Amino acid sequence: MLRQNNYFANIEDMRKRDYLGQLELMVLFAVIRINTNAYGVMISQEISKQSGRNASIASVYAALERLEKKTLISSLRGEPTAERGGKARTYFKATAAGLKEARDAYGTLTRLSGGMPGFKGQIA
Amino acid sequence: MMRARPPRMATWLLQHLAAGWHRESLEGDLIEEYARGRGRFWFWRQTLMAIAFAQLRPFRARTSIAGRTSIAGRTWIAARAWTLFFRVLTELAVVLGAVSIVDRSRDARIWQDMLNPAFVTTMAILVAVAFVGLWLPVTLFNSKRSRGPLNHLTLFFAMAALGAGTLSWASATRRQCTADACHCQNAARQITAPQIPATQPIPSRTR
Repeated sequence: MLRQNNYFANIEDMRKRDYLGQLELMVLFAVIRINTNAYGVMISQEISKQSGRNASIASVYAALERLEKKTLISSLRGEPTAERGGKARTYFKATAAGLKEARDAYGTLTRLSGGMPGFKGQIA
Repeated sequence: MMRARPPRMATWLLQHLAAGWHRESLEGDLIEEYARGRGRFWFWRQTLMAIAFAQLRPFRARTSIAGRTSIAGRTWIAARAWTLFFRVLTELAVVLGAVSIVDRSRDARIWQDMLNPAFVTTMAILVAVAFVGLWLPVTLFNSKRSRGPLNHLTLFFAMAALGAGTLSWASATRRQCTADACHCQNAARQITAPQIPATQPIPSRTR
């Protein structure tokens, strides 16, 4: 029988997120775009370059964490270097599920924005 | 050319308060960017954001769109909000207690002076509030107390306040010893003795 004290502890395992947030999508697209050797700084720079908005490295890592938990990306640890204070880089790569998710999101956004005034030929 | 080391305090905070997933890679990225010419302000900003993300990670997962719209998600958020409220209440009681002790000790020359009814009552109320704040979340929500950054900040503040209070107390006591009448000697008697200025004439008792 469920005790009153356990109500809130059990709730933690009851739900999972279904949709990707905007930052998660941008990070996923950036990882796919860079293709090889994508790591935190590079992903952040790619997002800033393409969107014109600054994406902090911390927020990029937070999004990467969520994407990896959803098995949309995978990570590989590199070698530690002196330039980085002896810390290793972590490289990210989109998985097959990640590529599918990105394609689906792209298709959905294209379809939703199709026919909207001012959106011809581009996604918002 | 490699720049000097990034701010030590920021690095320490990053290591201790932003622990978790790929923390080492994040730290390496920040050090690498700093070495390439980013400023100290940038490093500090990134560090504070990393700490904020790390601390809010468990909460964020429950406050997503799906979490907010479900009954379970709403209940979880309410439980977390009340837990946070009780914890802040406890921290506040501890900080106020530390400040009260410091404030009272600055006016008292011996420790017995501190034990007046108002001060004792205040301390009793603060202890009761702190106890309730600690006990209620555990009883209601089965929430165990974690070593969050709030605890560290409170401890730091309490230590700083107590340290500053002790130093200013000692300083005030030293200053009094250089005056005409040294208050350090037999402090209890000095407090009760009437303070008559040396230049003031003694009133006549003839009338």
